[in-house]
Amino acid sequence: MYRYVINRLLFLIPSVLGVIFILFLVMSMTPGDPARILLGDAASQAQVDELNRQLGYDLPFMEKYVRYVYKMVVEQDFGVSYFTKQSVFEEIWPRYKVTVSLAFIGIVLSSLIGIPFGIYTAVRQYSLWDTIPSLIAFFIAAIPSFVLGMLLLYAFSLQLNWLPSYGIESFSSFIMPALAVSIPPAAFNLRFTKSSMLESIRQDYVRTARAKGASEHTVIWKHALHNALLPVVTNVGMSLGNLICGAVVAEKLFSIPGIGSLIVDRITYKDEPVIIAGTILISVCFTVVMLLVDLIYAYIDPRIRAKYARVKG
Amino acid sequence: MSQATVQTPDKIVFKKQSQAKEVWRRYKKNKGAVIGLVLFSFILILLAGANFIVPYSAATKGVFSQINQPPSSEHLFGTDSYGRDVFARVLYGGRTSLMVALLATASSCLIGSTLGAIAGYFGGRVDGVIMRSLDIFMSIPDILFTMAVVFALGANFQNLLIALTLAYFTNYVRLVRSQVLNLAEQDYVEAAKAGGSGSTRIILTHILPNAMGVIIVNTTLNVAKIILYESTLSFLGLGMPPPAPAWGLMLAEAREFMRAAPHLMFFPAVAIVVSASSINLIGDGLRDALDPKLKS
Amino acid sequence: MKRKGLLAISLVLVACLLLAGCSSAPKSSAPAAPAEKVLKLRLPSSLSSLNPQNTTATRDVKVWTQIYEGLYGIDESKNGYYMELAKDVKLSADKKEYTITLRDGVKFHNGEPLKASDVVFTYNRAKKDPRFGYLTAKINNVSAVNDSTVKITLSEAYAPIVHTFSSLKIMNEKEVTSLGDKFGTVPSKAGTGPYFPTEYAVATGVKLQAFEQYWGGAPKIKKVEYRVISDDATVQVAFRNKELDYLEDASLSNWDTLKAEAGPENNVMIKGNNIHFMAVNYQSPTNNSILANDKVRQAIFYAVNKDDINKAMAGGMGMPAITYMPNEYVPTSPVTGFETYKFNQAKAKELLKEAGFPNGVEVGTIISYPSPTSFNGRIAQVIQSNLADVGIKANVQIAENAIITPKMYSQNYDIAVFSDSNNFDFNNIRQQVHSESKGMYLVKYKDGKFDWQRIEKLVEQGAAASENSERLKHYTELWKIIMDTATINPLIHRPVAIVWAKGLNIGKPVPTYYKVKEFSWQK
Repeated sequence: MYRYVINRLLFLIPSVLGVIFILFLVMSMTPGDPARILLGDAASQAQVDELNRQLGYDLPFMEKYVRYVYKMVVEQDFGVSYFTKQSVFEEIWPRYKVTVSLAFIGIVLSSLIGIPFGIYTAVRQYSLWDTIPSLIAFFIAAIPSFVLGMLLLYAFSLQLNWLPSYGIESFSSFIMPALAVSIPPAAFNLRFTKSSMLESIRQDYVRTARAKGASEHTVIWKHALHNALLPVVTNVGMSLGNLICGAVVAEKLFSIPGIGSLIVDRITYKDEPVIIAGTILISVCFTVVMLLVDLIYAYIDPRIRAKYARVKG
Repeated sequence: MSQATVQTPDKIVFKKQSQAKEVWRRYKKNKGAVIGLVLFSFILILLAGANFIVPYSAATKGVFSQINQPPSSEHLFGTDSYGRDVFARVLYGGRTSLMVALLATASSCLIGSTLGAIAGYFGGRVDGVIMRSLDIFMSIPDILFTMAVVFALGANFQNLLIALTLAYFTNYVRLVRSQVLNLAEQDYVEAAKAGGSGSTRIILTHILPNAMGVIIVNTTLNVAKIILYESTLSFLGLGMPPPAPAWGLMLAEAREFMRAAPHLMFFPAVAIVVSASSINLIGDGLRDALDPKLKS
Repeated sequence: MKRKGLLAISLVLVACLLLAGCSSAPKSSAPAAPAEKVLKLRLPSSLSSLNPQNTTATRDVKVWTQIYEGLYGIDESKNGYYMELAKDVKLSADKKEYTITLRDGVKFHNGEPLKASDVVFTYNRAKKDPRFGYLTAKINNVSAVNDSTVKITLSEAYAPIVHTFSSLKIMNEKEVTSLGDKFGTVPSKAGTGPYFPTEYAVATGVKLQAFEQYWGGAPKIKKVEYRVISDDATVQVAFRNKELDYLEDASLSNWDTLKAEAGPENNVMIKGNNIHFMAVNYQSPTNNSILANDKVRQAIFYAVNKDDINKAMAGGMGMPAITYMPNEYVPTSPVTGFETYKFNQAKAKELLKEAGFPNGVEVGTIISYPSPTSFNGRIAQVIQSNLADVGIKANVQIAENAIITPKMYSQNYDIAVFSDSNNFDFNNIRQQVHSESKGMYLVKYKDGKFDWQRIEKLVEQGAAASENSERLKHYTELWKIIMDTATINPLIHRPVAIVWAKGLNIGKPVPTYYKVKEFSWQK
């Protein structure tokens, strides 16, 4: 069990190395070079070359890669942003915290709204309590996230004047981005939980439990729910990627100093140190969440728990 | 099921037909699914026949004497900031958006399923390499990766397809792999192996057809997701290039006029919502129809 | 037991995530006393640095203008340059040597008095920086005569040097050297301006505080906050919600709504000091060098309807352009005496016919940046539509600066839509037409088929002359030659819309370099 967790955490090492490799590869294909962007159009090619040399941008691909990894591992140095000259770590860490808290709230809220409603709509299928939430979720699942964000902005900020339109410094300014990030995955969770629950309710063993005379309450909450939750948990974990996407949109729309929009902005500047360090942080977070999901999965599913026990034994 | 290996091709076809009939029978019973199918067919017919409704030039040609007009009898959905007919743009834009979504889904399904089938069937080291590389790949959020790729290659139809394929094929690898892992243990596959069939043949004739149900459902739902994702890319300035219309681009262009001319945003948004929800309805219907347990 | 183990690990991981995430706990700010009311301004994108020599981008310079000052300043409401940190300027007989006496009693934010050595330090620093090459190229030497006098020697007589004097912001040598590499990345006290920075974060913006010992008197508004609000739709909501006090370059698309919300006394639309123009690359090989044909280029010029551009991109509120710089802001900018290619479809078709293409012709691709919804991007689409009306077929490619501008600067294009802004001297045209220019030389006249020697000569004569009337004469001839080549077509001066909060007094509104020190809260 513990060995499994440690193995998974150890996998972070090749994973991060791989991520850096992929990013350097993609960045090497993008047009433009940072020195030209920094120095502007009036600079001569010699000056541009010189600055690229100073930045370490002109190194051959593999050398750049090895150097980067060396600096990161041995000196814990993520470098300096080409664009702002700020230390990359100092620049991205506060932004990382903002995005992670946004994504975390997104996961929690979307699960807290989506899963119970999903269960409830499945249990009360065809009632009004099923139709209305299901319909709402159904429409939300078909709306582009930035349109939803704009609707929130126009409703809560422009029309009602309840919430600030930008930033994330105060509690009230946190509400709208949190909603924008959580609503689409909540709708998705609802739909997913509902179908998973319906599937589970109709399984043989649930029928058997019913036939054996177990109370409806026991049947639903003990037998059906337990099985329905397995795929739901996986789904919640998998939705982190979508949440990051939602966070980028929310960050752009509400001018939130997050890491997603930072990376997106700096891609056009070819600010490699920021792009790579930022993506590493996100991918580590991603891997940890996936591990977490697996653990919760194991916690719920006795079969898998038994498997871990065997591994350990 | 175990006698499947000795079935003649004719029998397989027959069996497939009856299966399809059964699925269709179940599908028909689902009201929502039928509505979705009718709606989506209607949309497809409308888009395919766009040339007979409005000329393409109305969607791309600027007429600057009639900018940002509200809907009227002459321009059903009004005109945009270049004086172009919004109705025409919704129709022709739908072609582009749906084409991107369908092609990207198809290619990601093809690549993902193949990789997944290989990983699941061969297992061991092959599986390990594929799945671990995939884990690394997946730990980079789709949106960042897509953006970097579109930025590197330039925003146009093909490159958007490549970027979307890269973002979506991973789902299929996991999905098909787990299906294959389940199916590979089934008796008839064991029997086929014992009978000396080659790996490719077994995957193609025994495993993939049986995993088809799940793949179809996911593929359908993916089309809707990509339609939405394309508009997000346009929001970030990396979607389809102008002046040819696309729904995402129309939404992004309309944002600026949200208060002065809300109809510019309304119609493409409705087009996206209607087509994405009708596809979702079809997907839900297919899932229920393909899984008999759900319909008691 | 196993369950407990799993639970423990899960909890630890959750706790880690929570710690990482929620340590940015929301903090509420207490409402400020009226006297301390913070003036909130918008940054459309992150401020790259607090070092005024980090870039020449207008967006950043606008902020630095509140913190730093040059020997000269720019006042758009009073038609040009004025002496800011300079008290007296003497020009030698050969017009090459400027002896500048500094204003008395000027203090840097750190308390140091302004000295000639700081000017020398600033200018020498700029001379080493390629980004300022176009400003410092004519400066041979800068030296301190005494603590309050600087001597600046030029390589040749050059009237537009005043532009350099206003562009280079004087920094305190001691402060800058002591901060070293950190200068610009953290708040510092290296300027002489009415405000100094107290907090700075690339992500969110910068906070400024009034400098009580400012030589021009302490500013009335004591606290200023620049906040990054990147989205153009959101910023309108923010203004409506009073989360923003001054919004310049406000949306033209929703101007009527914005204007109504701001109130009749609190909005203004002024002619912008900018230019959106198209360049036609007469050397492009596309379609057997079709663009080398003078008649085809002229047909393109006649086919473009600047009123359409105005409608589609500025809601009809812009000013169709005939010259590169608006005469209101640049007195030496020519106004008449050259071809303007007034929209004329019949003439365009006629020219095409004469060129041998009665049934239309393909001219390649119109490129522009940075996005399809940007001003330039929209103009490119209008031009494409205009050209199609007379049978000229062109594609459109709109992408990020990093992709498009290198193509433009290396003349690897057919037709380009470009923009320029904040020129206060017609001499800046040299960036477009003189071969010594390194960037922005979109159309390569040198060694081409036009009289490029004459073009460059006129640029130099214009810069050497000191009388405005004489300069105007040279520039009018220059502009006539340029327009006759049908290569650069000025399209539109974009209007600048400004709205500001009720209760705020902004003095005389200006299009670009507003000065917060002129602002005040009404009683």
